[in-house]
Amino acid sequence: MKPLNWAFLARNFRCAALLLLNLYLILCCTLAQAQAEPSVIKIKRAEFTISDSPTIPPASADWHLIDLPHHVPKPTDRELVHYWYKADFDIDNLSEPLWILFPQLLSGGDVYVNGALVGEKPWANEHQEIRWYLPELWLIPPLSLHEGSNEIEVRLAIREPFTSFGEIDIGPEKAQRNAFNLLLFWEDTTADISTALCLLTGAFIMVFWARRPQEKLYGLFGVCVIFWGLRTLLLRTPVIPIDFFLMWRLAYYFTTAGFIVLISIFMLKFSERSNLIYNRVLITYWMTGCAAFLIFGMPIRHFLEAFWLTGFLPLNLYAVFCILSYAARQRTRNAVSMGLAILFALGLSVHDLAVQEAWIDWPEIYLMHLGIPAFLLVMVGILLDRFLGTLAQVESVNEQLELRVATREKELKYSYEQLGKLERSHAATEERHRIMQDMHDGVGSQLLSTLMMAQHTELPQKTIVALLQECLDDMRLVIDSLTPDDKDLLPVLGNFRYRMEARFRALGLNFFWKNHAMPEALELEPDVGLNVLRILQEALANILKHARANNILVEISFSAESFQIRVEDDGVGINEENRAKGRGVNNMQNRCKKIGATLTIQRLQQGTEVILNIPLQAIDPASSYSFTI
Amino acid sequence: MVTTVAIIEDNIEFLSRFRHVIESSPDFSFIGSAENGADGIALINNVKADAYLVDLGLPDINGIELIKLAVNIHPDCDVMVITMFADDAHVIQSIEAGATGYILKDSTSLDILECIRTLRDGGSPISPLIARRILQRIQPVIPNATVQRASASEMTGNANVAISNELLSEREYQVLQALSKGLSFKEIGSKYYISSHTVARHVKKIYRVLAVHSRGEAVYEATKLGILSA
Repeated sequence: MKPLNWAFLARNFRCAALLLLNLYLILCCTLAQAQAEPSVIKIKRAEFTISDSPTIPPASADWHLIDLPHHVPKPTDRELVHYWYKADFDIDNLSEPLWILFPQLLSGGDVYVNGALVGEKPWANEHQEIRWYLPELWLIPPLSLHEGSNEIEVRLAIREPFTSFGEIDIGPEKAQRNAFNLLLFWEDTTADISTALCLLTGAFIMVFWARRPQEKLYGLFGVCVIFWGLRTLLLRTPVIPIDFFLMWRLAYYFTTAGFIVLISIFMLKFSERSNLIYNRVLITYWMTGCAAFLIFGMPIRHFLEAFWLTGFLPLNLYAVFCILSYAARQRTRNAVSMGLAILFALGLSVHDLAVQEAWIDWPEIYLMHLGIPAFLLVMVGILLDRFLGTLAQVESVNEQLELRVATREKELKYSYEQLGKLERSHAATEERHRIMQDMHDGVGSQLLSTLMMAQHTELPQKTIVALLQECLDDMRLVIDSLTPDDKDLLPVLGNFRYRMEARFRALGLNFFWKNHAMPEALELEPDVGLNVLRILQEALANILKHARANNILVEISFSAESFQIRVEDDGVGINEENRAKGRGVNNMQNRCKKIGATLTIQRLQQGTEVILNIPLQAIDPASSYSFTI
Repeated sequence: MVTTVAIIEDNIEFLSRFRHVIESSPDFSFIGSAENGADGIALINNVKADAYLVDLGLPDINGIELIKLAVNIHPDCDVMVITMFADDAHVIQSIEAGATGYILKDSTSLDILECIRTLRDGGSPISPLIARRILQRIQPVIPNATVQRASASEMTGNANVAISNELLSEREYQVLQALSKGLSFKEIGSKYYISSHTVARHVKKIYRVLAVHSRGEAVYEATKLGILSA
């Protein structure tokens, strides 16, 4: 339960209080109004006698004059006591039909006017117990009435510990029927509604509890409500067969006391003062009472009602006190509403006690059952509050979740970016490493060997130029093969060709370059491409150095599986001696091994042929290779 | 008719070599040189040459600026950039600035003279890697240019195709493609039944287009940034 600000609470509290007060006032006013009809004769005095005579006992019988409503303990000498009640009323004119209204015909009975039977309702006998407790309205046959004094006679029997007989109203139909409808509604309909409501809501709460066993507070309340519903149902059973009377009464005690016990435990739990000892005492007290009734039966009925039930009062009052102090302390909407509901129920029970004990001049209508709907309302409110709270929480959780997902996404994106950066930087490092290695193995070592040679021997200028040219050429190859963004070797090969053509042309040699089945692109890893170019360059350098050729042909044949470079010259041709000691040829072979290519060098009739075969799949299985020419 | 040549180069060895090559040929005349950017600006302003040879790595000013200046002041001159490795990044930059040729520092004297002659004759040199780079500049995102081009008529909505269509003629585009695959001028010429001389002219035209296009892009960028009013 969420604490709310006081201004809101105060307003809420006032609203709730006003609502309950209004309800109570309306109730009282309507009931009072039912009595304030001027044309209705209200019979306030009557006479009664104890007699099981089938006809009205004579005036000489033991008639006692009493005030209505009559409510005294029943004589205890026998279980079933038969009564005759009679009352007089005066009529001035008979122009209008008169109706007789019993606001509450508590124990049933046969009703006569001047000896004529007007209406009959069941009354207690050897086979059944009657708890009629309903208003009754009958037309008095006009012929049975006469001007002046008339007499009403009622015959009934009582088994209940108290002898109760309500008031009698005589009057015209309209006023009487209005009063009757009103009474019927309050005495009967509201009780039925409240019973139905209790049982339905109780069942609903029990289902809820079954689904969520940890919600003990609700479960407890559900049982309370069901107990109350059953109690009301039992209490309002008008005809009880005497065979079941004991069981009925037991059930009544069980449910009534059970309700008191459970609601007290509930109230303690609600006010966060749950106490195991208190609970055990209450339950034991409850069970002991029920067991005692089961053992001793009707004889201890009066004792149970007078002392046992009253015994619950201090315990119950303690729980009420707890909940009221809790409401005062917490001042949350739910706690305050619960406190008010308790107060309302207390008010009703005080009312019930007051009418039962005839402290006030109100009809004997019991309103305690109306307290339960107030409780229900509060509990539904609390449940609703929790439901809405949970809903809001779920929504906020969802929002938070979305937020977190978004944050996580952002983080993920960031880490991906970081990863990408790292990969790029890793690739750059690798590339740098490769270039360094290349510098070391290629240009670097070439420069170094040139330097050594220049240091140790007197080299002719031509040789130095050639050596340096080699260094430069190698550097160009490195730059060409590393520059492109894509892995296509064709432009790199083209660049090489472009340069070599110029070189050979400048030397006055014929340089031919032929492409066969040239694809749209030739994708190779840059280092593989570089090695291919180096082998090719070495081959061409060898021609320049040793072959003394006039025509040089470079042929490149492409296929899906490989590509082949064939270099042919018309020079003096390679001799075996050269091949064996030549560092250049060894270098070429080594590079071939590195990239999985094959190299064949053979002497032709005139000149030399170098064939380099580079399998594409072995180098890069993923390389795409497509023919368009 | 004698072709006048001015050289801006901070390396005295190279400068003297280039000067020697120019002076050794009767149809060329050396008319001035500068060894840094500031002198280069003065040279361009004061001396009108048919061809300027410009080194990019000057100590004070980026050679690109000198290329722009020369093209601006003498629209009918040819600017050649002197480069160590003819690496495409530098060459492309120079072409976009307005250079129509490039010359390697270790070129033979024959090559140097041949290159300038070709230039004055309306042609330009190009290496496959530079051709490839220009293609990428024109169509930066499309890997298979031929396929793209074949379906260009249907895909009129494609901005890149639209630009390349606008920039280059069909023939220029074909030439560029063939160049990027490593075919020689001669091979391209025989493939399309044109002389290798015409191929060289196509290349020069492509260079001019690239320079104009990059200036247009610069104007567009500047307009977008609010430097120039539209």
